[in-house]
Amino acid sequence: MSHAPHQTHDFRAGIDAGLHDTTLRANFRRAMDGLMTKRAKQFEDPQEWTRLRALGQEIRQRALSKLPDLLERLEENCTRNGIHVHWAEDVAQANAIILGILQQRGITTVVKGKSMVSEEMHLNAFLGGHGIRALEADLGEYIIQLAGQMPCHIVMPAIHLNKTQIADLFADKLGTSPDGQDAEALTAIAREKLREEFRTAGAGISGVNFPVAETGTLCLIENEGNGRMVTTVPPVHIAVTGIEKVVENLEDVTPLLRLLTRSATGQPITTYVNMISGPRRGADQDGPQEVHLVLIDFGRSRVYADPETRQTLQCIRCAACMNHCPVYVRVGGHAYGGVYPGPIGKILTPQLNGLAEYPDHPSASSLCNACVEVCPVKIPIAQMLVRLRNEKAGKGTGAVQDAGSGGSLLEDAAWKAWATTYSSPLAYRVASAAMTAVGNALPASAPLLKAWTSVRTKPRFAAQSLHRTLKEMGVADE
Amino acid sequence: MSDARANILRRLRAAPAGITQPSSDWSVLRDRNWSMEEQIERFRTMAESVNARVIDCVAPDDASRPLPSWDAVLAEDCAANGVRRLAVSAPLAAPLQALWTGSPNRPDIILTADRDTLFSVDAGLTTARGGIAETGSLILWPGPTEPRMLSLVPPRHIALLRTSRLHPTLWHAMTENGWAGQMPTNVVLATGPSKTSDIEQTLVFGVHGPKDLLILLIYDH
Ligand code: SF4
Repeated sequence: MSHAPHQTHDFRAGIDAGLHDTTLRANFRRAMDGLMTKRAKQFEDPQEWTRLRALGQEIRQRALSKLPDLLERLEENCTRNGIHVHWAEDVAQANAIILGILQQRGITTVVKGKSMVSEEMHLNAFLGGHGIRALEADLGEYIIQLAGQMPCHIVMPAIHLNKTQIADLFADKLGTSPDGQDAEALTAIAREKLREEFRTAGAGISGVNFPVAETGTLCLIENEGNGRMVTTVPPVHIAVTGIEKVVENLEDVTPLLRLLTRSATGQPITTYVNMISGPRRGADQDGPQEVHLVLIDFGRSRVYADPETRQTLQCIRCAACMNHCPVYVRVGGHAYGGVYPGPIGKILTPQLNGLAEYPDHPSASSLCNACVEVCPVKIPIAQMLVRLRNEKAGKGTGAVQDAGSGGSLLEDAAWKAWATTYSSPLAYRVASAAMTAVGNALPASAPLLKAWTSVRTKPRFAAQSLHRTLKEMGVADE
Repeated sequence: MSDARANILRRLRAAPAGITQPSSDWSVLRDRNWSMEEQIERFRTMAESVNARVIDCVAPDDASRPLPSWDAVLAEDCAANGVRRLAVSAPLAAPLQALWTGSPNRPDIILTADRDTLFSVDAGLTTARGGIAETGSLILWPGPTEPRMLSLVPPRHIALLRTSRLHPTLWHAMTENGWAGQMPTNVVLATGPSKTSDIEQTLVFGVHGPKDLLILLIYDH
């Protein structure tokens, strides 16, 4: 599990760019408002929401509590079904496994269903470097692949672009007309381009929503049919998934499915729920001749090692937390860097990639708790953010990668002074009297205040403290 | 790569025990006591809400209800939508051939699992193992008599569903029929035609899968 030295991700620059891009902000605002309204309609019955959510949380926690056993059981049952199971500790191993499968069979074109894990692997670029064309087939992913971008949202990857921008992109890359293209016409263009690719590709690569240990089944959900295409038409199907995703029993899928689709897009169910339990077998008429499952760790076993941070792994990737996040909706998905934006990204990315690379992630939150309230598996995201802040300052257990990398002596000293002042009545009185005297005299443009007052009005301190005023009025303060 | 396997499992096993959840209350899924009529109405409403078309019919030899025979509805719909080449599920080929022999203007019945042929037909006709009332979903169970591609690749998908095979929820369908002990290589739940809202969240039907889904709901309960 070696990690190459990374550059620190400049979150602040991303935030700045996001905040000043008015088209981007309008695109996000519209999209997130729509998603929030649709989700709310699906959970109108608070009783049902509470019970379903408790069930979802329990299923995920139960699976995690038996994770190593379930992974072995999944492997055993998949193997019995004819699925080849591979394990990868890091990105290099996972990419090498996939490249090996493709090269051995002389495959030069693969079609891909949506998979966030494959984004973690930078799989497309890696395969491209080895002369293998990897084509994204989910419409949103197809668009951002053409644009050479990363997904800005884990469910709606191209939601930062409007139809004019997409029509221009298609015109530029595919030679279609940029004029008068609505969503329907643009979708038809992509359908036409990809249909031939599905028919002729050598392999399909997909993610997995729920791998089921009990039956050795890979459950994939989607609306477009691209996921079914890539797992059905090409002769080889390769599925990649994080080790944390496994669930124990087939019936566990039903409440999670209900929570996932409703939370993600406000749909009672997606168009397709595709349950794959092996390549074509016996007298089956079609389906791939080979199915592979690549189980990836990429730092998840480290997240697992601590019972508190382990809760991060309950995530079912519904994106509700980002849809409801006041920070995400304003800065957009790209500001976060990494694969997972929004609240889940803020807790997952620094744990997978290290606090040194993503030092600002835990602090880019007001801890407003909006994400916690909508998370369908009840991940205590805010609590986790506080934990990561402590870890960064070297005040945690050291469980998180690069713990202690972000401590500041100045900050430590400031808090120490604060604690001393607030624990001594005399020091407190002196300090607040000084604040009143000095605070109002300081100009808003004073060096340390300038940045803060550039977007806020400087507060005026009252002539005397509330404590004192009340005392003068004769209010007892015992 | 067996090292990776051993290393991952070792790290996971070394972790301290965390939260355990011995058992759960499943009543939120179990307590769906809909009558047959409620299930049919719920199925129809949910399927139509995502643009599936649901037409009530009966088996050709059933005179007990004042509903058209499914093969007549099928022929009419194919004619209305210009379906000339209809790929069919194996068990339906012979009965359909017999029912349609001698009638003019019937589409060609194609029995094949050939990929390129399926990419070129106008519609695919499949059976459905069951239906899910809660969400308006079809349970497709492809296998030796029905290629997986039949419900996916042609631009139109037509499915036969018997009312007696409706279940309140996926959980009921799964647990009452013991799916866990007999999963075939592929089971698909299909709810409406394929769709996307990836561009400005505008809903568009017909992306990579079928753009039209017709459910012939055969009353047999
Ligand atoms: S953290 Fe919760 S709300 Fe966010 S994506 Fe994961 S499951 Fe959904």
